[in-house]
Amino acid sequence: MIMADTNKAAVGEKLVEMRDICISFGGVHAVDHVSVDLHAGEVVGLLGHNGAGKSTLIKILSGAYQADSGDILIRGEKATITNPRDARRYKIETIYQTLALADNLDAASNLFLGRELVTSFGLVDDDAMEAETRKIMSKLNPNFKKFNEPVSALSGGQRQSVAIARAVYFDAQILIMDEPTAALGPHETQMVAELIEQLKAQGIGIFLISHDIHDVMKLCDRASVMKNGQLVGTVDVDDVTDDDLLGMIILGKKPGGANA
Amino acid sequence: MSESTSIAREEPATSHQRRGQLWSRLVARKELGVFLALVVMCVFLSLATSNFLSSLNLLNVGRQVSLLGIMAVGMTFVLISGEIDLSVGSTYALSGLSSGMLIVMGWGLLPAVAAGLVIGVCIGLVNGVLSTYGRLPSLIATLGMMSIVRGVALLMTGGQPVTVNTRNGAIPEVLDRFEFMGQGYLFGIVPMQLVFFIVIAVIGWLLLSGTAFGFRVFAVGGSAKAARVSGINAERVKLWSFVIMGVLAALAGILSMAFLPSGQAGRTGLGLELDVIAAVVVGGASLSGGVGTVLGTVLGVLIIGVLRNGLVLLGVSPFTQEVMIGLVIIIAVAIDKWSTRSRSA
Repeated sequence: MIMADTNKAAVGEKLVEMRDICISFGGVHAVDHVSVDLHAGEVVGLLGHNGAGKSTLIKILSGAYQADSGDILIRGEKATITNPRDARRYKIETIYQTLALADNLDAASNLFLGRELVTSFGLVDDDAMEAETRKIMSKLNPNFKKFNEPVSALSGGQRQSVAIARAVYFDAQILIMDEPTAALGPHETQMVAELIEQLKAQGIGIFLISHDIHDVMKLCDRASVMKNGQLVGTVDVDDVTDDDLLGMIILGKKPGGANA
Repeated sequence: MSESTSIAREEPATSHQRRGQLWSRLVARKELGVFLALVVMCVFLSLATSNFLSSLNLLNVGRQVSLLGIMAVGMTFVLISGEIDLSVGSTYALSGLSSGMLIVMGWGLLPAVAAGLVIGVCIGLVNGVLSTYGRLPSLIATLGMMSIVRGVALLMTGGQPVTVNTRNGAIPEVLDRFEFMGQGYLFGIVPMQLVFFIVIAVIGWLLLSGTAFGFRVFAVGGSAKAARVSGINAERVKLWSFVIMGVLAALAGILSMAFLPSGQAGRTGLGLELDVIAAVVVGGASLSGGVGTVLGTVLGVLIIGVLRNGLVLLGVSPFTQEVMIGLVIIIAVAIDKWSTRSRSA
């Protein structure tokens, strides 16, 4: 595989392959021989009930847990991810359901949290951080105006866009989004949908954890459904109906068009 | 990180825009209310008394608030990081008495002062480790340390007062320089204690509002979880805040010893922790973390200092003074709370 610019993935390139992953806590097989993959410019939904294992699976990718067995391949090469810093080195960024923003700080401060820009004197460069934030927000969410207010004053959708900006600014290639629309109204859900389209166009691959079938049908290209720690199947969203997905989640039943 | 160096700068804003921004930032600042309260107090006192505005009295106020102020700068870091330190009054006593005893034992100035500061660092480390890696609430950890450190000071001195003078064995030149630290005047007018306070406040301000460390203190206090998933070592940030507090409490204690120059383990710095916390809170810092500034703290310290001074000049009895100061603390924090609520609503 020869690539001139490793930062820009070609659409369709396989970014992530998780092969035969197992992890158990005590006697419980939380993830049981599960394989999923993700291509550049693609959104793969991870569906399942609470406790189905989707969050655990994805935490193995983000470095919060370590698999008991199985391999993770990033761009075709075997990767060792033992903590969130490793994940970040592989350009994997996670956007948590709680968004993990410091409520008392403004958007720029949150964007650069832990990676502050400093001047040559070693002092924090507020102006540069704000300018960078304005630049990236003008691309992601042109209506965003509240640059000097703590993020606690922002709406759910605006907070989401700050969290996404944070990931994108630091050059994420693989994005993990945990229930990105869970706390949002219809208008803001639409805004996040538009954001996701933009990220796809940039060749970023997204794992989207959700238990909302409509979100998955709307936002995802493929969906991997888990039940009781096992993979029920992975389907192209265009090939299935809402009811097919529901059947997979509740009954663990694969529809005719499933390819796994 | 390589990203941080390769960032293209935007066109600089025009100076006019910039000034407008600066002004709106200033007006929006929380310290403005505290500052106005201080101004009102000063105007009132200069009209009501004949000597409040005299430079001698003002320098006196400056000296009187200096030790409180030095400690309050440290407490600002601890409170913003979402913790609290109740052991500072005891640290003040133990470090001051230790340096004093070492000078009486014939030590030189630098080793004696350094030893006192190291004690402060160690107490800060213990407070920090217990409150972070030890997962104790800092209220409990430092409450315990308050008692332990006070007890150690009592054991060390046998409960006897420590007085630093040449009859007890202090080397005359060392004593002179020690007393200059606490009692002297820079250029013959500015009290040395005030000089220390100003230097500490400027360093504290730069550290808190200018450096990545200060930035992280706010992040950790605002949301430890957000800070942690951003790769910030929240424990280490809190630990450093406690160490800064410890060393500043020690410095204030040593300066107090140099000023008097005596102390008693059972009395020195007793209840001081509450004065320090009160000053920082009056200055706008939040006990729940994430909010506060060094400028606000300095103003809070000045309010407490000017209030005490003014009540004395007005001839108010010391008993009534205590009541007044308590009222001011409650009113200041209440105004702050109510105005923040209406702002976020």
